[in-house]
Amino acid sequence: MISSDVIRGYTDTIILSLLRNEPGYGYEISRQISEITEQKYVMRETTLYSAYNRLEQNGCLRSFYGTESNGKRRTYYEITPAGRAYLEEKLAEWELTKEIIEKIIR
Amino acid sequence: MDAIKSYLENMFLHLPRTSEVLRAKEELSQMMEDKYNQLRSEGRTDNEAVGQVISEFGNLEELAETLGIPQEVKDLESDSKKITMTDSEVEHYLQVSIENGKRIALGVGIILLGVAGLIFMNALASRDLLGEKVADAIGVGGLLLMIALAVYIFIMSGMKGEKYEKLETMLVKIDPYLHDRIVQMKEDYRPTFARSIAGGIVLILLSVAGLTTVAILEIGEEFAVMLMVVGLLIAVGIAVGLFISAGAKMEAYDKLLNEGDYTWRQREGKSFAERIGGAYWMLVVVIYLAWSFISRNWELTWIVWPIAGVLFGLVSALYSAFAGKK
Repeated sequence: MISSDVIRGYTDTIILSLLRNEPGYGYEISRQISEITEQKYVMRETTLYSAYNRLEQNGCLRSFYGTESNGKRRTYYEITPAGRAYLEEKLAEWELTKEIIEKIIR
Repeated sequence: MDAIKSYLENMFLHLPRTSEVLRAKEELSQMMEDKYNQLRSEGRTDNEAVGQVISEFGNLEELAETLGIPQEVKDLESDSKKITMTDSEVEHYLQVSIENGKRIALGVGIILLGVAGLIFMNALASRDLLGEKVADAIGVGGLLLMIALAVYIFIMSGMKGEKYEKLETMLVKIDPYLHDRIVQMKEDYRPTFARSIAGGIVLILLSVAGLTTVAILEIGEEFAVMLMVVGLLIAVGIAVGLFISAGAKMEAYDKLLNEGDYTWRQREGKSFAERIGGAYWMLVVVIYLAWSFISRNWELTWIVWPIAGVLFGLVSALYSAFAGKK
């Protein structure tokens, strides 16, 4: 079980990197996280929504409505150029963080 | 799936319905539904899927900052400000509130009738149909009797409603199905409520029109004016009765739904009218009776009432305007 405090600072990075290649909707991202991490990390719905909302307000994400085959309206999220720049920054930061921690604890 | 829906409904029940909050609810609902369907398609039972979705939902506190409602969430997190009511409690509360509304309306009506009686006696005295002292004795005696009767009624209704005193300051928590039912009841009652209020206002305006016409045209002098004042008081009694009984019912719905004057914000402080209303009207009664008995100008002193009414409305409107700005 992972402490959510550790991962919290990387919620935005996780979401933006999963949206890097194509837009996605709410649950899709949460499912991908669970699948990729083999259920070792499950992002809570409230965490996910707060992040979407925050990133949209920061201009890192853009949302739009898409209609599913069953006629339901879904909100999709798409990364913006600002979001990509922010992601690059956060990825570089992560590399640095990883390197520093590794160096100290090994 | 219904369990998930009602779980979310309950979560959002007491939050203000801003567009941000509604959007968050819609999004969260969609996410939970998708997750539920996914789990079901993986072969989980309904119970397992519901359980997992709800346990992995998270908490409102996390949303608070995002939605710009930290204070509301904090209030909701603390159970000390909430009161949970069951179906039968809600039913009993509604019944008591409606009955109490009628009782208080009756009490106020009785007092006004007593005042009308006092003026009527003095009207008779002004025509020498009755001795002045006899008129005062019967009038004041009758008024005191009416007041005693009304006080008895007020105390009785106060005791019946005591159990639900908490609802004045606490938010009510009821299950979403019951909530929906009360919303429907309130909607159904709205036309009747509007008719009661409008009817009361028309009644008062008509009797005021009658009184001023008689007073200005000086038809039949003192005696006629005093009879019109008696009529006005009876009309006001009926109108106030309508306002109180209709208002009590509406207020009961608002309290259960945490709406109107009973949202979490409004419940924080009592309104100006509630805080000083009682003392104010007592003072007006004292001024009215003192002036009437000292001057014996019954055909003039009634003017205290419309002035007091307008003044009260003015001051409480100003007060809420300034209090609202804080």
